[in-house]
Amino acid sequence: MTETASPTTTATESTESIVITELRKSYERAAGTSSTYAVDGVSFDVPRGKFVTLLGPSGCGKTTTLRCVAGLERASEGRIEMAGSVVFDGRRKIFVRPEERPIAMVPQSYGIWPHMTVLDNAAFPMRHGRNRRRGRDVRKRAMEMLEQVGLAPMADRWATQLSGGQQQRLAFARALLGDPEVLLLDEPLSNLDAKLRARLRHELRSFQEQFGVTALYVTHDQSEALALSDTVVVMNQGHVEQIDAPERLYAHPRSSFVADFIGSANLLPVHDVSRGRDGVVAKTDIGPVLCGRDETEEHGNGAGGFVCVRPEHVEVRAADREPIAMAETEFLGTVVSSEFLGDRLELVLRVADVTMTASAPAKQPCRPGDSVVVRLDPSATSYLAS
Amino acid sequence: MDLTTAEPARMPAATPPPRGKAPARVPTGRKVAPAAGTVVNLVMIVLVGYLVLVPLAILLYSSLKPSTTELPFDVPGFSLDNFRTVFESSRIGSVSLNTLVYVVGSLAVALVLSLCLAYLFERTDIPGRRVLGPLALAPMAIPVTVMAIAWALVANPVNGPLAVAIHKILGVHLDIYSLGGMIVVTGIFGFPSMYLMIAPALGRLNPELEEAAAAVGAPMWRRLRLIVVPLVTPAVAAASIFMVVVALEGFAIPAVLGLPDQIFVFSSLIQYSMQPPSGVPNYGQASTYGVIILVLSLILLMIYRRRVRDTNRFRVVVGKGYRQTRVGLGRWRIPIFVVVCLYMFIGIVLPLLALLWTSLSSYARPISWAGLRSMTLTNYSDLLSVPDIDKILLNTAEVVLVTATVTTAISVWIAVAASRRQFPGSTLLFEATFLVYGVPSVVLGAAVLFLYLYIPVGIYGTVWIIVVALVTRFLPRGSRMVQTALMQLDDGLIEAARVTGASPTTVTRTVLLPLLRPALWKCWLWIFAHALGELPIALLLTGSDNRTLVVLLWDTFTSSVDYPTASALAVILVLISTIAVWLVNRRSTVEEV
Repeated sequence: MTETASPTTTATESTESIVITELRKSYERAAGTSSTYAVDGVSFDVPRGKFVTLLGPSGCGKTTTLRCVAGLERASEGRIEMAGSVVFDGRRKIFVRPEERPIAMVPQSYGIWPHMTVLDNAAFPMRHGRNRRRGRDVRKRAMEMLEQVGLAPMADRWATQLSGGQQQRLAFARALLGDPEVLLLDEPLSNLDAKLRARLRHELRSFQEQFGVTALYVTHDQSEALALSDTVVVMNQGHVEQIDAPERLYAHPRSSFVADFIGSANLLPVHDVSRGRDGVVAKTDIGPVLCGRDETEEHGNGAGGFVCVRPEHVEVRAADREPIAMAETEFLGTVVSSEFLGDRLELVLRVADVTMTASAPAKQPCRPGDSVVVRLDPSATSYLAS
Repeated sequence: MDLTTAEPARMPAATPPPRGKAPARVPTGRKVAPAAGTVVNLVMIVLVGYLVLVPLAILLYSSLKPSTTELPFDVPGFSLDNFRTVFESSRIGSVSLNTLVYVVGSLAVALVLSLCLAYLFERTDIPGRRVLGPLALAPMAIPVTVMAIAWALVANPVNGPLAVAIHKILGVHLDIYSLGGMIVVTGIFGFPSMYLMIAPALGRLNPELEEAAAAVGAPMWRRLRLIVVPLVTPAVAAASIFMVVVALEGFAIPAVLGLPDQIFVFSSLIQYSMQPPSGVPNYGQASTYGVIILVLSLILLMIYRRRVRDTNRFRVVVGKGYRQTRVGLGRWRIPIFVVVCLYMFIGIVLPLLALLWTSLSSYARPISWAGLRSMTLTNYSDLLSVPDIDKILLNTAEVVLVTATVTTAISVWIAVAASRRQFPGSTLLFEATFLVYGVPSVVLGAAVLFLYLYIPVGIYGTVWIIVVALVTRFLPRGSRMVQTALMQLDDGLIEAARVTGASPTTVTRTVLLPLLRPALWKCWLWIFAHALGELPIALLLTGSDNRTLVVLLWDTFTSSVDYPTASALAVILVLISTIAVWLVNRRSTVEEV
């Protein structure tokens, strides 16, 4: 492959910090066997100044994607553009080495150098990095940055004397001092305890907004992703499942994987669908369900897919003694178990041999064994193709 | 040898689960390296190839030259005459038999010692474990030449205190100058390395496995035989083959204890053929024996490699998060403790004591209270009047310091290049150094000697020829020490520096090397201590101008038979070596804290 010393600039100056097109990364196995893809045709953009998160279970290819963006690993196929310059192109055999890419990174373990002081750690990018400067200015600027992340009093201590949270802030400060076009963060909160994690999550987002830096963040923690991001890229088995803003991702999951991975969802397998005026009527094991939301792309009739409804959209009321008049959207069920969670009841229901979960108001009297009427609100019920 | 495969520190999340042999590091995008690095790497390959392969080729070449007294290169044509002569002579039978008995015997002694002590220290409630454990490893700090001399002093039939005592108590004549003596001393010398390989396997043995057997009522011996032994077998097998290689190449002990009665093994015979008392070397015979022992040793090494790989199959042995429970020795606790202490005293303390005693006496004499009053330091002051002592000290310093520094430097390159898979051929380079483990020190010395007799570059007879041989000898160990340290280093530390845009050279200088510094010190000190005591290479390559302390020790002990002066010299060598080894250990404990 040819090595280009610096990113080749294309004519179009874009508002995207990173554009990734059809990225694939394979790992060679023993000779003869077909290679498997850790990253298989991933495409997404990171707009300038935004916070984009790669979210997925472990092994989904999110860290590999990040490392390919950083240049620490070389993808097999596809194209990566950064600030309008191509830094990787599989077909044209372009590979820009990580030291030539306009990036900074906060690794999972922070990569704080134990043989240097806090200040030396922070000043490293300015002393040795791609945007080198000279003189007293370096120290001054590093001190200013340490001031902003609250580490100025520790500037002359050894980096090993910092706590976990302080190390993370130092890693962040160091990354920003490299004046990166993009900041790459590889699960930077995963090594911290739960309390600290919640606080630093907040801190991280406010730093990012304050400095206006573009961030690409990798995590397997859905609450982190939802809380931090402008856009979330949900990945599974090397593929992108959905790219959306956090709110839309929760409200309008496009696949059963996303619905299940983000929050919790009742997923009912569908045997047959037909489309009407009010939405999709999907035949499931509990009967036909009217789905007000259709998340499929081609609107033909066919089998397969799932009905998805969040537990908070499953309405439950006690079934009366006399024969019940049930609406089309209502089903008869039994309470299997009920868990009191303070603000609400978590119910496990059995509806025609299908187990469903529902969140009911805490006041609602529900005991295991009770017969209930279950209503699925069509406006909050989605039909997913897969 | 720490050849255990360490798991890579961190794998990217998306890596498929390691199956069989997953690559140690996922190849990064740095297959294309800067040209300068590639050139340096090529130079390294050529250099290591030259250091390792060329001498061996010359050895083989000269074994095919039918010369007895002339230099091999002066003889025209090739023939198998040397091999014919060697295999037809009556000597081959006795030397082979001696070597076999010596190797197997030493292995048995070392194996019994290390198994017993490792089990006692790791798995039982024997008192004083914390003191006895490290003490058992003390022989590692003593150069093997010194060890051999100390045993000759302590157990020689004339006035060795141990021999005298045994004769008085048991009525048995003990002669250290025998095959049996060589076996016992080599066993005790080889024990620490074996112990270090076996003890972790025993220590990490999940006690639940043993307790499960105890719970069903199996008695202790049955538990040992059925549960413990099969689980530690891989480690024991690897350690045993390692010990065989060590014994096969061992020179100082067979030379010091075997030569007086003309008991030869392969390694001592090679040196004897090249530097016989008659003064007329038999190069043909030496190189032929060299080739034989080299082939044997390389075969064993390949078996060893296989074994070490198999060891990983027994993952169950590596337990974590369990409470270490120890087997109660019951009423045998104290008797066993006494036996262990007795071994420590006779095997480790007494020889050193005898050495110290003799160095403070004006003549070789048994240890006695009466002798305390006539102790003297004249032996030490006499050392200063040894002819050319300043020259010898300078030579030693040059050899040891240059060897340690150069070897560490090359090791860093080899290990870093291999672990980062940065340049074409870097993995090959690392693997190639492994070959040197299978080259006995005597053979390496002889081969290097032949090489520089043959090519007139003017280092023959200087300290540099010794440095060249020693660097070759310590390269594999050095590069593996650095590699182990590299594997323990978090990748994030290096990657964080790379993404700032710092050049690879800057990253290496400002981040990688400073982080490796403790390991490099350790490596340097280890080589320093071992280069100081390495006898066969220095002995074979010595001339009038490049004598070192260890050669002086050998000459004083064997030729001049001046035991008190030799002892004083030996004590000094032990002191320097102990300080270095102590520093190595201290540094490693400081890091762990």
